[in-house]
Amino acid sequence: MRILAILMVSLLTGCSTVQGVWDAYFMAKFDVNEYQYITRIRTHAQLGTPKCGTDAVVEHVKYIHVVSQEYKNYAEMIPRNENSFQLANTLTNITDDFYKRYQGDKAPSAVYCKAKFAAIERSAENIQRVIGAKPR
Amino acid sequence: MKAQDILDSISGTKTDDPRMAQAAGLLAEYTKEFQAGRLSSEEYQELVADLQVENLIYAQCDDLAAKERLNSICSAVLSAASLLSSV
Repeated sequence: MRILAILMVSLLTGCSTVQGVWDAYFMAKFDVNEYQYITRIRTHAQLGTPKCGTDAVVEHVKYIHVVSQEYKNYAEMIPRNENSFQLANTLTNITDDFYKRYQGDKAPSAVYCKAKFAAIERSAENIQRVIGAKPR
Repeated sequence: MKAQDILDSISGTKTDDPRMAQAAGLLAEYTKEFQAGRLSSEEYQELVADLQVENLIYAQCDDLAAKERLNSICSAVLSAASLLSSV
């Protein structure tokens, strides 16, 4: 029955491969931990923004660095979860550089800090939207 | 390319794509901050590179959203098929 339904959907949607429909049907379901990771990243980007230019910002930068790495590692080993892992992996490109800049002797500028938090917040919001819409 | 050239080319470009418009707005903002000396050269380069990363995240989100839509269609077809078979 399932195989027949997948074939039917492939024909109806004009999907070029049955594999694509198969992957979509058996994709990883909504995962509360994944959703929590991305929510925490977004929240700390919001909370860190007003602290740019002060020493207090470092804890938020560090927290985002750790949680985005955790999210990536968590998403990686879930079967049929490639899309979520890709998103986590891409997000770490932004968060890693941010963290590295705070490891140097000279503190980054407040303008840079606010722009980075804003980029992380926008990205996390978009990821949160699609992660939250995963099938239950 | 000089910062002013970047600002000139952004202001001369029109786009209907809201994501591109947002990226262009951010690029103009970063360039102005760099010109004013409030961003270092390295910081400016990193923020501009992040715009490309964000664009990639948008594309990856679109891929996942498309998969979710397809999953809903599959589930609906299966439900309809099992309903029909029970009649």
